[in-house]
Amino acid sequence: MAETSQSEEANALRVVLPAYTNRTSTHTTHSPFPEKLAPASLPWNLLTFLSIAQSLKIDFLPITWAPALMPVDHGGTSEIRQSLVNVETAFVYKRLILGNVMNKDEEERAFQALIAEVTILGQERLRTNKNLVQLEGVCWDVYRLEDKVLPVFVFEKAEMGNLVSFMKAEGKHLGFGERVELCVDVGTGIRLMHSYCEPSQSRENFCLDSDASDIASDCTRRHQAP
Amino acid sequence: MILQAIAHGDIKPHNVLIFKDGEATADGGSRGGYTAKVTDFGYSVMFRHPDSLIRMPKTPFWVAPEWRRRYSTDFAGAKKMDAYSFGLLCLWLLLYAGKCDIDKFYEELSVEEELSVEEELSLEEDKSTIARRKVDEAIGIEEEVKERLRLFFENTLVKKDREGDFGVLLRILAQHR
Repeated sequence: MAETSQSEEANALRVVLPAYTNRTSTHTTHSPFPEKLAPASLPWNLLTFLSIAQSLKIDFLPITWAPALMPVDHGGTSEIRQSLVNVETAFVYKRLILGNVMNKDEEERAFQALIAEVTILGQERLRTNKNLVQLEGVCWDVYRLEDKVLPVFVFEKAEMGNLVSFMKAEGKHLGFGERVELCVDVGTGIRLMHSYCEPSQSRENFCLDSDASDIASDCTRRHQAP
Repeated sequence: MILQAIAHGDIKPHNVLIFKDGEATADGGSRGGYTAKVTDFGYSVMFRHPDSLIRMPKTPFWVAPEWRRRYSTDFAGAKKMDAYSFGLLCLWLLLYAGKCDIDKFYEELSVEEELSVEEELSLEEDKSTIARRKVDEAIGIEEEVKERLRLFFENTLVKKDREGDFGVLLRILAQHR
């Protein structure tokens, strides 16, 4: 049983490799930080990831996934698996694909994206919004033979999948008004990301988005929570 | 680590997840009972200052036409690029999705790739024109709603003078907001 799942996992690692090369050619490598302000000394590696995740109070979860479950979706550098932690709760895992981070360049690029993502997911004002997917925490892929530890994002599970697959299935029969509501959901999530939060010495955030009172209250609500 | 503003940089339907609303919230009933959530911030960019210049990522088809290799933009420009992708997403979701395959949408909306900026800007037809025609042809939508849609696509899909403020865009899209 254990052997089967291991070989299945090895296959999964190999299969997604071409997607990665494709993705790098269509995306410019870009820094998530403004070039002038980019901390030159900040290396894109696990330690940086850890310190940022910890400073943002992201939970490190002691859970693992079921390798035998097939990936539900995979992007260029990572794949997503669903796992049943117990009967009630299911999360989605976004893991790096080991085969894609074998050399130093690939690993740096992958960590750059991971660090960008964790920095954004960890922003307090984004962590209570219902139109942005919420990070439950981070757990780890430990590869003893390769001497590597790779972070795994743990997300709330989307029962209906992504919008493309949803619109092929249940979403097919949505009326016009319901479709507009979904558009509004997406726009509301983006509006919150765009909203401008003024950092200050204290840990308060003041949001300066003109017509998003809900955003301002998102910030304050989190700060009021013990 | 403190930062101020974020542009998503990779808005497309594949990066929107659909959740079923809990049964307890079945109070209104007017909604389909689904919530859409934006995901995948791996290509998002953060601006510590609105004047910082940042290179934006490119997702083929969904990326705004001003994107060029080594193209840098400030936060206002990055918001407008998100607005363009959002406009395309809405066009697909409102008028194509479930009625035809997404490939048909790509086909109808594709313009020649790799044009220079001048060539691109001189093209008579942009995607807002295609969207306007599609709205005109749509059946079963009230004229008043169509008028709002035309305005919405004009503000999101044009090449120049696009609206980058999502508060404004949402008010156009949904009257009650």
